[in-house]
Amino acid sequence: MAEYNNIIRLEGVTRVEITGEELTKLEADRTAFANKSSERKLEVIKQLRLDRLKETDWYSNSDVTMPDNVKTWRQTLRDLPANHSNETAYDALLARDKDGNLTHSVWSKP
Amino acid sequence: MTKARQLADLISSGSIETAEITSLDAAKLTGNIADARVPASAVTQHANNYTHPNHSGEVTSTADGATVITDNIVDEANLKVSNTPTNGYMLTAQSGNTGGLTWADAPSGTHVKLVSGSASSSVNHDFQNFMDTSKYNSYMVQFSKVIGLASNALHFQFVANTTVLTNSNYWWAFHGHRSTNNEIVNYGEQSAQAPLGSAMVGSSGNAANYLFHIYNNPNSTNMGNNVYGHNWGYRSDLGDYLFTDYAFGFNNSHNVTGFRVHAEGNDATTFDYAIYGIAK
Repeated sequence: MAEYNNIIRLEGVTRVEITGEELTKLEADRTAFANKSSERKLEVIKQLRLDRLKETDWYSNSDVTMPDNVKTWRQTLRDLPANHSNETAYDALLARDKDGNLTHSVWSKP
Repeated sequence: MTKARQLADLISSGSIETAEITSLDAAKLTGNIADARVPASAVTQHANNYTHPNHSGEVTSTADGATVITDNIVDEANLKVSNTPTNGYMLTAQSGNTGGLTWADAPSGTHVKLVSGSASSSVNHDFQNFMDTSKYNSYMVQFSKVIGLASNALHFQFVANTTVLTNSNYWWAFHGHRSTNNEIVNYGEQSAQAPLGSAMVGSSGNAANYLFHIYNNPNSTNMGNNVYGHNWGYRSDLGDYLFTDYAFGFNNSHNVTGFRVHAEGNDATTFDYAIYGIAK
């Protein structure tokens, strides 16, 4: 599929097909970016994990006793990168239903 | 007076008394004189036969009705203005000038729309040579309905004429908030480009939005060209609505004249755009 540069000037718009060295570089950059897809998904997973750990940090206060099931859940969240190490596993963790809700059980607070 | 006497007077004077003409009975005009008479019936007939034409052109009429200026017809050439316009000028009232009107540059602070439209699907969108340091130091840029981002950031690079400035001169940071009450933060220095805030998902149902200001100081060498703005929208990979505020500087002495935006990951994107110059 052809790729384009959109050139927008006061005088008007020109759409120029990307060819030659520029196209070669574009495709190389795109491949390099795609090759880091797993890393980006892992970053999202870490962000989602951090959100949930923060939500339950208050259990760590000295005057509160953290329930065992919450302790276990928090440890499971911490272990996510260690126990999920490939893109297929990441995709499963990031799966969402039609309403945009995460479907993997690990994200649900006990 | 006898007719003989009248005839004698006419011959001797060479003229007919005015009193005699004004009392002349029209029926007495016969022969060649009768041909010169215009009968009253002819006058009446001529008046009844005349039909007033429609006026056409920029000002029209229906028959002898009121003349009216046609809709959508008066242009700049019709106006009586004291000077010749320059593109982008505004018409101002100046009672002492010819026609009471003068073309003038936009007053300070006015947002002048420089360019707007819908960007067709492309990897790079280069907005070239819209900057005019004689008129503007600041520009406001709006992108709406940004589609094509797949959880990727929209990146920004300045352009000098047609050259995209990709050297590692961008210092940037962004900070925002998500609808789950979590912050979203990132930063970098000596980058080859700067992100316009957080990554977004730009699908047709969750189009992303951007609004930012460019400050272009042509005499500065350090961070004189910089951007501050916002982006917002729904990010389906996080399941959150979010916004981020972002700022970055371009640490170089180039006289920039435009900018390029492209998606991280080189996604092809489409969006509606408008750029305003803020008059000095």
